[in-house]
Amino acid sequence: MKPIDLLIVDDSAAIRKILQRVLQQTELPLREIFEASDGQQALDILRSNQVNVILSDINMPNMDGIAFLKEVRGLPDYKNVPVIMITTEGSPARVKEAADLGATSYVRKPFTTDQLRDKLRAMLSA
Amino acid sequence: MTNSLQECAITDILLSAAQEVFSSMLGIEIQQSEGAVNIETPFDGVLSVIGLTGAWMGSGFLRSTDKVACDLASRFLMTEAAAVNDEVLDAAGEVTNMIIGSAKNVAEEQLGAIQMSVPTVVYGKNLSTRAMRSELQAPLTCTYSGGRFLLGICLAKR
Repeated sequence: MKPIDLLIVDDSAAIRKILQRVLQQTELPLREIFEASDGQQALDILRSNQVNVILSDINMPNMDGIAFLKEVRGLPDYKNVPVIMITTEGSPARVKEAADLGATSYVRKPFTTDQLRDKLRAMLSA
Repeated sequence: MTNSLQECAITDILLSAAQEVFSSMLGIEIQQSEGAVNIETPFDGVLSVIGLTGAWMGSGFLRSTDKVACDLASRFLMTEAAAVNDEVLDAAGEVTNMIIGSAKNVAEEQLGAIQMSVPTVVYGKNLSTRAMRSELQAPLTCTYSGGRFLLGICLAKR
């Protein structure tokens, strides 16, 4: 498998730290993990780096995950890059909105580290 | 609105959401304390608040002593937090976000769509709070092996 460069977008440093820890447990060939605390900061990272996978929260200040997803799908290099939404927002309307905008998958918080690790491993190694 | 969603139901929804978050993210069990809930202010400690808006509006909150906030952050982040700092406040906000978010996802089946703000967390002494208007109010005290904390949702029809 080729090396994975990944971007975590979440306004909570605690969640970013937990995701980093879970990702290290997947034993996937992770090369670089970028972090952003909102959609705008994430877009800045995407404009100067090429990542293979994006994990994004929805409810964030400045630019939320839905607006970010819309912007990502408008970038030529990111039309097909997997974007996994990890959020407490579990309402069907919100899930559908994310799916319609091109979200690849949806993980609801709270999660166990085992659940998330297994899901990420399955998705990222596919 | 569906007026059938009573305060006792909101309390059950909130407790169930908190139990799910604590068992899955922190690996600990919590129980609801018996007896009256003390929501008196002023108080000393950490308060995390999330604004709610939609057909109903109000807020959800988690309130604890600094000792419990540090303990929760230590378990959440798997690093020792000896005193309240940015990481502790961030963890308190995220735990609140997950609990109130999970409760909101269930409650909005009867109350209609509700949007959440990002958490606001304050820490200090002699803190006072007041819900401006509340038709549905569900405060509860939760206990776990590390101490106790207060959870609540206050909602009023728009």
